[in-house]
Amino acid sequence: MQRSFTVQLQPRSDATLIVVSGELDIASAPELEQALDQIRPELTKLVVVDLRGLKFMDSTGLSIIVLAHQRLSKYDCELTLVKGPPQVQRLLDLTGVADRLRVGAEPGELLNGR
Amino acid sequence: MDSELPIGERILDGQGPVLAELLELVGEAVTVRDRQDRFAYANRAALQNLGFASIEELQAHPDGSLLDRFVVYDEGGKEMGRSMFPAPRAAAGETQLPPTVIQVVDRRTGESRWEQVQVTLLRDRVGRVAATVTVAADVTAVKNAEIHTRVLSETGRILSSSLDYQQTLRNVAWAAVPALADWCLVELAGEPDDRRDQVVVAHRNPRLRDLAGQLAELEPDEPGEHSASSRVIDTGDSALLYEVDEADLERIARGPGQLRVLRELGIRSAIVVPMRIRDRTLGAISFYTSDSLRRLTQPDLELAEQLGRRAAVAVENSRLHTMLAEVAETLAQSLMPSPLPALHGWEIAALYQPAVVDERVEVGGDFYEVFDAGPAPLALIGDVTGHGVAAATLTGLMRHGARFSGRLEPTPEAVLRHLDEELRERPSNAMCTALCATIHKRRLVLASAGHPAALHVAADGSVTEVPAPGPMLGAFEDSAWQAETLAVRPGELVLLYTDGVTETASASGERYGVGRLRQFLSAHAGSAPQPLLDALDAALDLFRGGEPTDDIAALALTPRLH
Repeated sequence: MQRSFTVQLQPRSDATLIVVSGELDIASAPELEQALDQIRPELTKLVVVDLRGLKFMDSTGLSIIVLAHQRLSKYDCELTLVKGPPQVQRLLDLTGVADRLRVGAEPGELLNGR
Repeated sequence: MDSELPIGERILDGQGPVLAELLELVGEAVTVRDRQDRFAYANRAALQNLGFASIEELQAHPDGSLLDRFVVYDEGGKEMGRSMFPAPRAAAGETQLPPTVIQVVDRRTGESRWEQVQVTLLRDRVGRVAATVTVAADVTAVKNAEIHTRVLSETGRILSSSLDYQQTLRNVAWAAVPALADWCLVELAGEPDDRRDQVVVAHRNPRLRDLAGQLAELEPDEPGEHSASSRVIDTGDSALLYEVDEADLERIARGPGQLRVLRELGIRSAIVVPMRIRDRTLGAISFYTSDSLRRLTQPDLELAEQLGRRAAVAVENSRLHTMLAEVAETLAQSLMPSPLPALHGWEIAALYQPAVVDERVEVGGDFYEVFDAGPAPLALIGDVTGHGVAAATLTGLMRHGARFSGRLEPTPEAVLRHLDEELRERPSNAMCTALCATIHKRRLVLASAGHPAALHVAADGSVTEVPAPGPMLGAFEDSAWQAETLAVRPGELVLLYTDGVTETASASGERYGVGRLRQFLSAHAGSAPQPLLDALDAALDLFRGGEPTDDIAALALTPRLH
């Protein structure tokens, strides 16, 4: 089975962009967790996780995102998502995450929305 | 050759005084016996070993075998009788007598000596045995070192061969019998309530084994009575009793009952060592010699102490292992799904397939629970984030939490609310998706917390998803759930499942998906729950082409006709 997952952290002036691609599942979730742990909510008030490059996401991957949201929101740092492919979006809808987090079609929409 | 002359005299005469003096100087004990098996010659070392001042005194001794003075054992610890000695064997026609190693124990003093014995037969002209020459080398030091090494290496092997507690105790008892001692008693520190489980006996003599075993069953007549072993357990210091007399027996015994048995066993010498790990004494091992007449000495004590240390490690390991195995077993039992109850008016079946990681079955995060909540039975299926023990423990929390809250407030939305609170109160940051349903006559009431919807399969094969999802458990502060009612008629079926089913990946990385699952259900419309789940299991196996790498759980329900 081919498994590929990449995560890129791109700090901007007042936001942090995280671009993920490939399969986000129990095997790759720790990589995203590590990237999210690096975010300093005292320094950045907005985090955008770009899910467009994902091929698949499971509940472990989802829980990493929700846990980061829980942690960051305590410091008034907002975690937002760029909409991924249908399977990923279905999972976000199914679990109620799409209702709680801001979801945009592309990063600019979320960055400018502030 | 004049065979009428005493052979020793003849040799000495023939070879001159040089050899005679030489023979007196060597450390080996050299003896010569004539055709009648009488001593003809013994050098200084031999006389000293045998305890005689002169050859005349030796010759005058009434028992030529000297078995009245010594007990002789072969290398395996078996007592040797007269017939096993070289001269009678030669007389019986044996021509090749290889060197043998024997243990000689002085009956009076209990001193023991190992000898390597070489016997040479001297024959007359017609080939009859005229004399036997015996050369005995003292190999006590070598032999003791060998026994020492062997007992310890055997101990290592025996002690590591079992992780069963009782078996380990038996192994400890047998590690030193018969090489070091005739019998051995292993006692564990602690309350004497279950003394029979705490004491193990090994005895080289099968007839005395039962008698020695009685020691384990005889309670001390006065509680707190101080025996040799309890003193060793208290102080952690070992004890060597070279010569056990009546007063020692009274000290060793835990009360008069044991004293009677000890007298009957006839103890000659004793060593008691602690089984110690760091500062903790787990118990004591007592080594006794009795019927071998041997006495235990300082080197034996050192060996016994080493044995005690190794035994302590083995006993502690097996104790921990036995305890852990019990805990793991109990935990595994509690994490496996409970058996399905019989439901009035419904037929139900379950599929549960834990993930296989590195060729080991991993109890994971998927779970289901079906139970009678009072007004109606309740079914719960769910998936806790993650794998391994942490996830598995949370599935237990979810299942038992559902049983508890289901009896307080038997509606799906209330059960989900309770489980959400339960998860959010925990510091583990765990999340869970779950689908909860109450089961009524020909209808289900369902609520979902971020969980894949149930699939309703009509008789014509059409498939619908129910209910609309609510937020997952443990994720948000202000979650609420709504239940939906689903009518189900006989001939129709409802499947509750975890995403392990739809996320099953093929060798090429393709997922089974909801689409294939719906097609599968359409094709199997009208199936009963159990055959349907069997077929689904087979279909997923075929698709996956290997062991499941994620958990799978599914419940199938259909109303009965009557």
